Amino acid sequence: MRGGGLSLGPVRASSSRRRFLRLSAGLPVGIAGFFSSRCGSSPGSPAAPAPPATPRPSAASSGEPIATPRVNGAINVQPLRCQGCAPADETIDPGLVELQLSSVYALGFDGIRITAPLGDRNTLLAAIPYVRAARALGVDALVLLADFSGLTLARALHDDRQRAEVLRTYAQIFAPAPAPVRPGLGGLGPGGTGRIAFQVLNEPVGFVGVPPEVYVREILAPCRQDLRDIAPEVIVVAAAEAGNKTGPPRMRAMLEAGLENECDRIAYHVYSREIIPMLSDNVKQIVWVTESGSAGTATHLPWVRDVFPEIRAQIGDVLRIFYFDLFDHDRGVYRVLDIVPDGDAYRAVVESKELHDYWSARVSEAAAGRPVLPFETLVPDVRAYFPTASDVAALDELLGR
Amino acid sequence: MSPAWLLALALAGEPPLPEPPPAAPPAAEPQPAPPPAYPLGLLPVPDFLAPGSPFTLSDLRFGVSDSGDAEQAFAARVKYRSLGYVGVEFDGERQGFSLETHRLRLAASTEDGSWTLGAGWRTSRFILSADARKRRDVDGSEWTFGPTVEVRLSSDLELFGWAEGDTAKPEGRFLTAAGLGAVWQRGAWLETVGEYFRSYEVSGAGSENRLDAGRLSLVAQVGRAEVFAEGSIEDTEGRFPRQESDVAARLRVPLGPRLLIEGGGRGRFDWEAGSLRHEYGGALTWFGRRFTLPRAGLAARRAVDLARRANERGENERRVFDDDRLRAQRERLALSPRAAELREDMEAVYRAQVEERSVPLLGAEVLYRDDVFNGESALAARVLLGVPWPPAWPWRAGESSVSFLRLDLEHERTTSATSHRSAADRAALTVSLNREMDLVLRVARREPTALDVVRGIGVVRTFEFSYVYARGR
Repeated sequence: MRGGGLSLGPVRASSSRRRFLRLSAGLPVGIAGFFSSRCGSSPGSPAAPAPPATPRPSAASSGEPIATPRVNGAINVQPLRCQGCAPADETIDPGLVELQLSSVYALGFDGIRITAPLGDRNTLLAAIPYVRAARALGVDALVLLADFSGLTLARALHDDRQRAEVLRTYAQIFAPAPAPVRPGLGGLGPGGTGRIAFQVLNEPVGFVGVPPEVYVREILAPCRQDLRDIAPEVIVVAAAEAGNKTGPPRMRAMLEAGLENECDRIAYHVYSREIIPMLSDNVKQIVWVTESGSAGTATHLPWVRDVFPEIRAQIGDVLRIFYFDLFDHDRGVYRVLDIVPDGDAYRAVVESKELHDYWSARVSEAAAGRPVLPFETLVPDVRAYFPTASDVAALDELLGR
Repeated sequence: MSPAWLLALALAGEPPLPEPPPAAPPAAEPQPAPPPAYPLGLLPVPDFLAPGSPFTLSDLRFGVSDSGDAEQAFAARVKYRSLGYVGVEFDGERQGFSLETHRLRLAASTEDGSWTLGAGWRTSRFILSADARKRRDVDGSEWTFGPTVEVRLSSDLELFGWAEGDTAKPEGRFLTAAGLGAVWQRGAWLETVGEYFRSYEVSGAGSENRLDAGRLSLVAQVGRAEVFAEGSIEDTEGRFPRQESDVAARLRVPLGPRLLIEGGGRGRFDWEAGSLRHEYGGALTWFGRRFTLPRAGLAARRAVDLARRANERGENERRVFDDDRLRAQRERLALSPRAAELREDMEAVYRAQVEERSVPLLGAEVLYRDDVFNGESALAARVLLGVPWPPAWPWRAGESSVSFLRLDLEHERTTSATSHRSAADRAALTVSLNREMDLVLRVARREPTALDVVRGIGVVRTFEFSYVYARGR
């Protein structure tokens, strides 16, 4: 991510995203600070004169209701859990979970990618309802095994004595499929639920200082072996590298170190159009682009509408692209939505309206006039997917609490 | 003054006595400097042609190191009559043996189940050599072979070719690499090396890469400055094709008789993705006596003369300009049946080396490097403090000085892409008892980098002590 021959565009884009991740590490649960600083200025801002609520796909009132057609790929979701609470506070606010998941459902995404950081117990627990409820809706869940900051999880996954225990706990919490909210959801997991996938670390060089060959041979390969033994139903996704010009050489080094043989999915990140031809289209594995987006709200729609097809066209093995991201703390950069308090609840404020409308229109078109079941009907109470006592006990045992 | 030194001076035709009368012509040859005194006393010009009796110690190295596990290293080499040199080496798990005669060189070593064998035969036109390496049993026990042929077309020009074979036949291929190149030397001031090679490598993904590479390097003494430049282009064909280049440059310029400034850099580039890694740095060094760049002085001219005369007498010698390679060349030529004809030239080179010895007393260096593949950048600062013999302040040392004590200090700060910072400190104290004998003490402390933390490696402390003897250095 440093200097060296990079154009300003990708550097700016990526560093902004990093900044968010680091900020969120220091503020993993308390978005109150963000809200309090933003809420005061938002009403007067010209961008938000009358923020619309999260639109629902239009639907004709005739015919059998259907679940929202999943036609818009996948998206990155933050494991938000409460407003204004201290890091040690274990609160998970169902309103925040429902708000994000209802947007994922309504906008027709077939997968979410969410971080479950071992170094942040309460945020890891908060990821549980997102994963379970998404899967119950037939949406795939990609759990990112990574810390927002620090080396705790990377160290544990490298350590032969800790690795299996860590992966067993993750699998115990996230791998069992929930009951589907209704039959015929079309998910590819058991009973039409969404599948579960684990991504082993995020951008290893940039986030944990692990070079490509070391990552493949000393972390990914043993993790995959352990996961095969512990939970063979988990799809093992390799870490991607940075989405700017430093990424392709590192990805190539990973591939030449045998990446394809040590995972079920190869992952790329794409934040710069010029790197698309540099990423190999010649891999012996399915490729998921687990992060792709463009900095600047005005560029969101052109990126999704024009660059996503370009990625699929030039990298033939790409089967799924995760947009970055649904919500984060930086206004006007990557996020599609802002989330603001509304009385005792929360309200989504669409910031990237053109992209939002584009996705909604695609859902409506796919629904072809059939009525779409609302999220609230399918998930009347998201607390049904909250961490159980056994989840907490398993995690605490791992953490030695 | 020792008899040997007097003999050497006499052979060189430069009698030290009697002093020329004051009225001697001003164009007379400059008087040779008196031999320097070392802490262990005067050191005469060695009798390079003296046979072993029957064995004479030529090299001795002993070292102990401790960075958690203590290890010892020992190496010795002796000259047997006038036939050649025999050496043995024990370094941790490594054991080695070597034999060198006038034309023949043999070597063998083993470490942890792997073997390396080497052989070479040197004629007036050709140098034929080969090495063979056997992998450990756990790595497949297969052998790789590497023959090389060097052809001397003139004193200035050599051609060389090499190949590598592997009995494991990766992707069904025995021949895994081959290359051709040339070395062109012009006097002492210019040396260029050009090379092209093709290699086939099987990656960890199990696919074969074909690498075509060209490399050109140049080192030249241009006026007061020494210039080094190197460039290479690598074209990799395979499942993940790419083109990469390496470029490097270095400049060394004496700012005064005792002050040297140097700077340089190196970079590696992917033609599409841009910079992959680079490093650059600069140094300033103050010497206790006048400093001469290795290709700029009398020793360089004498080395050119020695190589030329040796080649005229049926030897096959490239011009070399650093102390270690000059010593190896002298030892080789001393085994020649026509060694007596080269004695004067060998001694002249040695005397010029002694005369142009460098005595660094104060130095500062800064180095920066970064690497896309590990995301690390590092900034290192090095300081050199020297005490000459006879002891004197840096600004009071004179032309009779020799190196005695040298303290090298280094502090390096590495920053990973995660902003994790780690420091490394190294110190080395070298005591030069004379030109042939050193005691070296090294200590180091390195804090873990981000990768070390992930690997569970903590602070590493290293202690190392060694004694080195190299006759005729």
